[in-house]
Amino acid sequence: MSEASVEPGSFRDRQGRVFYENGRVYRALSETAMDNWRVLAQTRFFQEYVKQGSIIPTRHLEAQTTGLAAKLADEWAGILEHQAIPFISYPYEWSFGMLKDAALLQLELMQAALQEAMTMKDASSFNVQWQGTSPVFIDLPSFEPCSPGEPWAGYRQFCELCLYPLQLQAYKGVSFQQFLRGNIDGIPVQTMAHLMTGLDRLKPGVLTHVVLQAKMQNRFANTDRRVRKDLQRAGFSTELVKNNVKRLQRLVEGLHWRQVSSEWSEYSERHNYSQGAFAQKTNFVERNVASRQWGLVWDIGCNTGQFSLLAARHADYVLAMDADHLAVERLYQQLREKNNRTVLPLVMNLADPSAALGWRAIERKTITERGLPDLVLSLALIHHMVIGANIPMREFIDWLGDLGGSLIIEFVTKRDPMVEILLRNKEDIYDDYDLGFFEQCLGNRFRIKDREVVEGETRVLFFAQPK
Amino acid sequence: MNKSTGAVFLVMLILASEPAHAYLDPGSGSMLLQIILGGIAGLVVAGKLFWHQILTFLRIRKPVPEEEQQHAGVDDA
Repeated sequence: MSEASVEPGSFRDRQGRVFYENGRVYRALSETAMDNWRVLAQTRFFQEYVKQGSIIPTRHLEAQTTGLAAKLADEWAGILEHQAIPFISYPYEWSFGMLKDAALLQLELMQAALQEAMTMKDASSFNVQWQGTSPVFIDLPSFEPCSPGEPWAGYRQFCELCLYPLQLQAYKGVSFQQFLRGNIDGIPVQTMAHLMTGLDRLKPGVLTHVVLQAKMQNRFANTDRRVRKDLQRAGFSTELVKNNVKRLQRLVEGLHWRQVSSEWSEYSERHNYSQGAFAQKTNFVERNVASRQWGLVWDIGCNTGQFSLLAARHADYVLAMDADHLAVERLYQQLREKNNRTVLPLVMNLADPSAALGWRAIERKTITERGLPDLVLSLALIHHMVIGANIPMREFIDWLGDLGGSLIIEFVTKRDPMVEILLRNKEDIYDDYDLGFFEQCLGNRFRIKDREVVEGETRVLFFAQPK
Repeated sequence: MNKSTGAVFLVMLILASEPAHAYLDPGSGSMLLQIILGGIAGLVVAGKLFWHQILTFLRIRKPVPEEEQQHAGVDDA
């Protein structure tokens, strides 16, 4: 990120645009947006939420004579600078609790804004980012002065990007990430209405926010009524918006995911390490992680996240990634209780990681475009990649090499009970799944600095640096 | 009086209306829905907006052709 670049996902609102230069984040604003900013900056709620870390710290750059900011100042009415977020993530990578907390933050900000005659023009979950487990609202031009008689323009967007995904998880036990990754605008009202069948319709918020909204969309799809104007003349008031937001807050707070046991979430409890072997693994990771201070660490296949936490003691920021939604949710709740600000849990299937999406397929970035790791922890993952997901050994190691960072990796041999389970119903076509070949692939891309056979001799640990 | 009464009120109006099967306008329906989501204060607004349809639904007034009906509402109130 050394050169100036525009954030390709910031085009929707014409009132501003986000730019990057040398790791700094600028937001260029139109005349209208600058006026709104000046009002916002004077409000009590804005100052309070910035102070408590829930709105991104921002300053107005008065006079810029150098660099990108100077160039932008010629073309825009004003330039803001935001504090940089350690790692940009997207709602389809969050767990249930993360989306819920992000949704509640938006509603809370909306409520606070309405108290001071401001409103929010949208309600996209992408407007929230994370500092560890603290949600941070980043889209300041979203705040604008409230016009009397205006309904909440972001209501439908809030439903489609926040409420419906949460309801889907809470009421049907269906993970929402696939829906949010499949559609950048969220779950459409009509789709949600089809998904909520039978008794689902009696569950909180379904009849009104889903069924009724779908029906009203149908009914008024091609009305030539100027609804905004009609509402204004009929006396629609901010009070109605406040009531609606208050009800949505209660509704979202009441949504819970009845957590069921999943294959991976119990892994920590029933994994087949002896106490001695586990201590040995912890020591190996600790000693190599502690060899220096790291910038960004990726813990891929983090499961309970205990090694993410270990790495966080020697790193600026850690991404704790796992394909198991429930494992990530449990980790998030555990980290959130401790108000952790340096570990970001993400739902990520490494065999199918986040792709580039949206307009021109660059609006949302791939996981690797958003920040490469200085260190990767890949512990008890390789058998899931090579045997579970059929990814050739050489390709997996090459991918790790392409990430460019150092690597702590655990090789799990075919004699290990966990691998035997993976192979019990599969033909063993995995000739490349072999310790010798693994070390050869690893040696092609890395310099092996440390190696240790774990007690029981079915697992081997490596610490390697990029060549 | 509570939100469910308000909901029933609007559901009646919708069921009394002809459904449209054209392209979707995601805004209008969602905006109008916010009247009942706003609770009791929304009833007055709904009354003003849909006065004509209410009278028709209660058979106090005869239905009018669609194009006239779309311009009724507030002006009739």
